[in-house]
Amino acid sequence: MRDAAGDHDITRLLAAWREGDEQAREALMQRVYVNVRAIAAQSLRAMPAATLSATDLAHEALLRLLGSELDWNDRQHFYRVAAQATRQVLVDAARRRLSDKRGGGAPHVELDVAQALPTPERDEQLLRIDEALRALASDDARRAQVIELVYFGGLSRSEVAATLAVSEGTVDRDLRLARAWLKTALRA
Amino acid sequence: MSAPLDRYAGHFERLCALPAAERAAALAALPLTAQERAMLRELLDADADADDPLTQVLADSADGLMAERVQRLGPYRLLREIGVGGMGTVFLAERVDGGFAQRVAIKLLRGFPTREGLRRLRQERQILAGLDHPNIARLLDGGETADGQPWLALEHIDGLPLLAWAAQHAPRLAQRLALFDAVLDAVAHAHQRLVIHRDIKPANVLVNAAGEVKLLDFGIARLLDLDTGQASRDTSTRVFTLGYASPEQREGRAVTTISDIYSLGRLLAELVGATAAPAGVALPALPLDTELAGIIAKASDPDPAHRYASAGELRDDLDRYRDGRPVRAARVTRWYRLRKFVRRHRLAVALTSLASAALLASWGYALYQAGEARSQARRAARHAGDVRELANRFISGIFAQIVDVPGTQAAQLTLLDTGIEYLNRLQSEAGDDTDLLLDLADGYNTLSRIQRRLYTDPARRVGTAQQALQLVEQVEARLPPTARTYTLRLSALTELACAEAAAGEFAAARTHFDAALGLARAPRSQPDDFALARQRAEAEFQFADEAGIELAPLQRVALYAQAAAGYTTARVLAGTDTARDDVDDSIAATRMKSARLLLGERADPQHLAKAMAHAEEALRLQQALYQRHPRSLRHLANLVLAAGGVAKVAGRLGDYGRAREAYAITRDYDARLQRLDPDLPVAAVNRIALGFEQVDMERRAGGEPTALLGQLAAIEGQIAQVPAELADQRVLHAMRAWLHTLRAELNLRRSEDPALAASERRALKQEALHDYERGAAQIALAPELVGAEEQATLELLRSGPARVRASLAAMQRGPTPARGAARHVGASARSTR
Repeated sequence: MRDAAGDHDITRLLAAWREGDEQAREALMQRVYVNVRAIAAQSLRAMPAATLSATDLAHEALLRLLGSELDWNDRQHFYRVAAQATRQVLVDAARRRLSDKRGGGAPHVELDVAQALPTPERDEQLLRIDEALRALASDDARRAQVIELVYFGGLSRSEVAATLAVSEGTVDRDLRLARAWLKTALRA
Repeated sequence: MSAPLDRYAGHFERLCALPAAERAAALAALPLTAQERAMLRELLDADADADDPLTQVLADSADGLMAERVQRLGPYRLLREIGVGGMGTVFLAERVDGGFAQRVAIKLLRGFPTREGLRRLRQERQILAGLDHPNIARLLDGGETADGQPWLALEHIDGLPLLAWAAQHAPRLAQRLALFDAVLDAVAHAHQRLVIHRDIKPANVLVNAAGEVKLLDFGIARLLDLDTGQASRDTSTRVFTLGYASPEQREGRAVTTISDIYSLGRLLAELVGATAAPAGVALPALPLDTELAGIIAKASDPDPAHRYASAGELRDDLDRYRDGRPVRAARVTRWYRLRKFVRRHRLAVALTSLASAALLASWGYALYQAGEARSQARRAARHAGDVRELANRFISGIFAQIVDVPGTQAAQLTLLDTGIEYLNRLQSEAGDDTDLLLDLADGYNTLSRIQRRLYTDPARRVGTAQQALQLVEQVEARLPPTARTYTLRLSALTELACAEAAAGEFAAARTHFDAALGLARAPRSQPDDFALARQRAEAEFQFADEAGIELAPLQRVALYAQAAAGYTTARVLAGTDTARDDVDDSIAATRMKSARLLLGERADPQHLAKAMAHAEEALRLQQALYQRHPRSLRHLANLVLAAGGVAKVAGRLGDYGRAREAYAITRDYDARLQRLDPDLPVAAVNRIALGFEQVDMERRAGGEPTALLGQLAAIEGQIAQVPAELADQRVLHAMRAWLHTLRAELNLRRSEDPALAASERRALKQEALHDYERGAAQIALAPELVGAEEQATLELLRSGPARVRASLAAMQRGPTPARGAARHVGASARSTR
């Protein structure tokens, strides 16, 4: 997706996905996955610990990737794909680290790098968040999506509102409740 | 925990809206089950807790991802982050596969690999690949991570930024200027390769423990624009450093090499303490005199037109300053000059004063002597005039008339020998006659160009060009430079460099090219005439053209474009149709060359489109020239090349129909050329190269291998018949390498034919293996002939033996589908110029 043909491809896939083509969604996830790994690393790292501000850099990168000709609707869809992919990337990495550890597979990590790696407890917490989100999504799709877009997609509340076609007040309320609920899930 | 949150949402909101103290009572009053009430309480507690573990968990996970992602790159292990630049992060890394620990600096794009970021890193790699200077941090390696992130490995400099180093070592002025010299050298080197750094500042100059200076970070450097001679404007991100960036750069106007001069001026100012060093650097200032202040002011003048025109000019003025000579930058007053003169010549002036007095006494004698000398000179001049006319007529006249005339190869070779002998004899008689000396230099220059065309032994060409250079120097020692001496020196240096490259003396060639380009790009106070303008362009062209001079392909393309711009300038100055046609021929050559180079840059579709446009322009120009000069060997030979260029580009674009059509036209022109003159050595070489290109195109198009092998055999016959004077030259090695590679590929393909007996197939594979080995041996004899276009050939040669063995092993196991290796072999051809 670094060439013109690739952009065209993304637009086509997004359109197909909007029409309800689940295979297009999968293909899109695959395409986006690789690049989102980098976004995840960048945007979440840059996130101030206290607030969940929108991550301008990731957005800019996405917009550049998509190009200005992309339909606004497509863009919203793309944000959703990116947030899903980010989540998937982080969860995969946590699972791999944990299974490496359990399987005794040498993580092959240098000292300086090892310090930057999350502890197993952190990895397990991430998996619990993922699981809780999946549970939530099964009967409360909208709130699960708000969390995903904010935390994994780095979207601002107004962008979330636009993406989900709800009011900003709704986003605020959903976010507050869902966040509290996730915290309880983490404590459990 | 699967309770839908909807059930709690209303209560949660209302309770949250209440003051904390009232919540417990309100919660108790709600009509809920005990379980629901407990859940709601938990939610409220979680909400009241300001901690956000989610953010923390996600941030740590992301950090981990980053750390894992960059742990290992190719053969390097990342140790720690050592810097963050505009676009990238720089890590210290060490090589893990070697026996010794080599530390390198690895540059990675930060975060998301945007197209702009990728383009830049690719460009930085291209640019660095074309730079080779002790004061520039070297590019060692590069690649891509598994997830498509490009990276560069650079020479790691364990040192301090310039100003920090200076603060620590408190060097004296002379030492500071010596540091600055090294920076200037590095920048001059980059400018000669058409690279503008655009971010020169003390932080990008490191000084290591040995006191060596290294210029870093070509991250926003640009090649001069292919068409305008300016760095193309960066539309995406304007990156620069305030305080060092020139006004034109800050304002987003076009940036040129002179913009770097501005930054150099600012850097020098801080280095010598003319301006306050940035916060945090305690650099002791030096007492600054007006001349040095003048140099700094001129270098960093807001108006580019008032700055030094080149790094070389700035260096010159600093040299003057150090030698105590008047600097250009200073306001020139009589008094200033005189003061300067006396200071430098404190001893010498005293002696001259004495000598002058003594001279007065013998004035009369001196006048008498001068009169004697003049009448002798008159006699000598008459004689010299005769021989000069002869020499001119012989070299310029006869050669110019026959050089493109069919069937005169043998005569030209004889004339060449006679000509050199003639010039040598004249030279011994020339004495002090500067005009004659310059004519002789001209003659040697012409002869060395003719030698180039005739593929004369490179060692002899070196000798001829050296003669020319010596003669020019002899004259320049006596007279102030003129446009003519300038042109002749430039021409001699260029020819010398070309000859040295042909002889495989690349270090010497590089030195002389550097000198030639310095001249070619230096402005003169007088406007150029046609000869000089053309010679300037010629120097650029030859530099870009010479095999063995290592330049990144896009740099070559930029140089060809620069040459084309120079030729276009010369065309305006041309006084005759012949001169204009000459220049058109050169422009066509630059287009043809860059078209072929751009084919190597297939990653960028724009480059391919440009390749076709250039190839077509070359063909148009050559067709027009051929129509005007239907019996000129040169124009017909170049027309063959131009048509072949279009064919090659079309083939590489996958338009095989058009390619075949263009090859048919090429063959037709070539047949005409052969009818005109069957013995033209350049034509023979080009015919072979074009033959290879065509076979390779058909191979990639999936052509029938047996038929193509037949064509290869015919080409092999042509190679056996190349003129004897070519037989031991490097170009032959390249030809044989192509031959072996293509034959191996075709035999390997034939060997996959299931209709053949197993023994036969095995024999073909063995034969292919043998050919790969022989091809590789030929390449080893002339590795510098493998340019960007031929990388694919090398790749085939490298991978060939392994592919044969794999295919033999597969035969052992049982039948497998044939593998159609879609690769290509490039070819380069030489223009007749």
